[in-house]
Amino acid sequence: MTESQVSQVARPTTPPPEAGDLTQDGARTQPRELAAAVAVPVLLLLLSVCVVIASAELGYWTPIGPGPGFLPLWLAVLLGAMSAVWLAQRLRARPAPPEPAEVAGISEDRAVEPHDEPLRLKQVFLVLGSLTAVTALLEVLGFQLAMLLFLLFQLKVLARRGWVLTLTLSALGSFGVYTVFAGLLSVHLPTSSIPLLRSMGF
Amino acid sequence: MDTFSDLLAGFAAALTPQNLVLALIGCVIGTLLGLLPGIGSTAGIAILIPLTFTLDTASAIIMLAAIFYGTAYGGTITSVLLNIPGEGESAITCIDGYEMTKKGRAGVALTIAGVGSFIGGTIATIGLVLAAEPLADLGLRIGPPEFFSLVIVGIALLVGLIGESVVTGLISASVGMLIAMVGIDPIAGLPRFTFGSAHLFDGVSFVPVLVGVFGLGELLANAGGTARRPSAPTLRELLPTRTDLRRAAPAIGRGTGIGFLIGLVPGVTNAISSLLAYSSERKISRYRSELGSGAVEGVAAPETANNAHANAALVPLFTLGIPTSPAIAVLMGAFLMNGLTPGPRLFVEEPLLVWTVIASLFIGNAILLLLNVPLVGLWTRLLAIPYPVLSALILVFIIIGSYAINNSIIDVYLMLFFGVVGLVFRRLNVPLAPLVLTLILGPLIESALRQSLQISRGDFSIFLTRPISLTLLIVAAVIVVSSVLGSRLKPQGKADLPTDATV
Repeated sequence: MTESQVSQVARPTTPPPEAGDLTQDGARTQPRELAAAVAVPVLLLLLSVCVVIASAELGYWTPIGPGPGFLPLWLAVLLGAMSAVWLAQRLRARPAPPEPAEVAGISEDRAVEPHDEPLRLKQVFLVLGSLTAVTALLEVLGFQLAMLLFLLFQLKVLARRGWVLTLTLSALGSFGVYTVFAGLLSVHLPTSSIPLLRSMGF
Repeated sequence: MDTFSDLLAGFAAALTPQNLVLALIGCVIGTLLGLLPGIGSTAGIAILIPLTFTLDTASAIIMLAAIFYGTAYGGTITSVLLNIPGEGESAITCIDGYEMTKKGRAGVALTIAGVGSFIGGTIATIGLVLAAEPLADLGLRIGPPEFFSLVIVGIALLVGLIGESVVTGLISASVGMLIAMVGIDPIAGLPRFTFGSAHLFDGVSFVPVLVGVFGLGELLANAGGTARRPSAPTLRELLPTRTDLRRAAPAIGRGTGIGFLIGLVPGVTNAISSLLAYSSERKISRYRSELGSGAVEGVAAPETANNAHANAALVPLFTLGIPTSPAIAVLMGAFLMNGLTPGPRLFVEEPLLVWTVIASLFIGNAILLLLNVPLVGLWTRLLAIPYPVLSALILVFIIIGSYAINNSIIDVYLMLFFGVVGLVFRRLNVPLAPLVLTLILGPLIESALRQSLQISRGDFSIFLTRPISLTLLIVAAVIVVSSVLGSRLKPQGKADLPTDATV
């Protein structure tokens, strides 16, 4: 079943948009993307206000010319103005909830463009979560052990590969990469902060 | 010394075994980045910058430059065989390249693309050799106001040509510039936007930002996806027939000219060059009626143009200190990290280095021809690697690259943050190229602006009273205004234009 078929079938029976658990199809992404399309300009607008306030404190002008706050201030004004225009454009362009047939049509048209594919949020969070975890572990377990765990998770759990491939690639990507980068290329990579592990060379 | 003896000295330095090996490594990595989905040359170069710290400057730049122009070769392979452009600049090649594959002529398409790329790249490098010193002399006469206005033209072109709208383009540019503002202010010495963190006193390094936005952002956007596997292309024969060569030759010539000229313009990426080369074939080629159904011109012209562009784009970098595209901006960042400011003074201060790098361009293009044409079968096998496995391995390098730049975990967290920013910008079609340009040029733009205003004692008319600066600002205004007015006409033309997500 293709995505467009899924949305065609699922849409009439599924009340929009929060209910239903169709996290991976096109039907759910539309409202979510719309929310993001409004939230992002608002966040940028807030950012620009903060920067304007912070730059004002830095000093706008000095006797010899523009001060440290000069450029950030004008950049923030530009950012704020553009975000406001963008927000207005987004709000105006916000379409009424589309008819099921339209949804199918849109997702078919858009399937050609890679960035209009539905975003797999669960996958994104899994990748981001595991990256945050490995980053936190880098200076605790050291690069080699942290990366070994990271790759085991990525290859076995996310990519669902067999054990042989998982173990080989995980070992190469952690111990192998460390040997090449830290050993041959003298790139500094994090080591463990636990004395026992460090004494073992991690 | 005259240009020729300078170049010979450059060749002598570039032909040492170490530099040859590094050029080869750069070419292999570049081809891989172009070939494999998920990571392009901008993130690739940014990740590898820390690895070049132990090398001397010339060797580091040789390797990084090879990665840059190598990606243009690699992107062709997936365009021709799979109808998927590995890089934006190869998008247009898909049309006729993939048609040729369907007719069993994939080998010919790849050979012609490889030869065309070699010719385009080499001729553009000869152009660089000839134009370098006169342009550098001109560059030396450019003061801060002109530099500032030139950068504004570059940003205007990026904002006006790529991306959905001028509004999002300007948002991207101002976000990049604001990131560049973090750290000790260059004139008064005050910390700006450092949130009291000593780590941020030196500013936000561009490496984690770019690795996040371009590398992680792209991987997240494709998370859980499956890349298409090649259906084992039959490379029946690599040798083009005499007819193929006769038909490709004029297209290669036109592609070289277009790529070289467009490459000199700041702010225009090589995707534009290949697009223009293709559309000019559609207008003037003798075989224009066959374009779209597997004509050899449809592969030769854009592929030649994008490589001529890639090499020509180094002209404004070396002579004026202006990067013309995101990947070149990262390359410029590598110069800056080695304590060198690309620009006209470089020819005076470090002539051997510049000429060594230029000589290596000739060598690199020859290496790429050898790597790509006879070994194309080997590269296609790499495409069989499943995407989730590939992305797991790329993530390892993304972490190493962002950590190793300052040996700091904070940079890895920054990279993760900017990965999310990159994902959001991609989803909302905010162009990323303006962000890169202003991020890297930020400190230079600010210095130029403030120096100009110090010269004029705070009078902004200095940008309008100097003729070169005035002309440049008018050009920038025309570009922005015309793209705002022309935005309604854009969609049809835009359909062919690749987004800059893959740069």
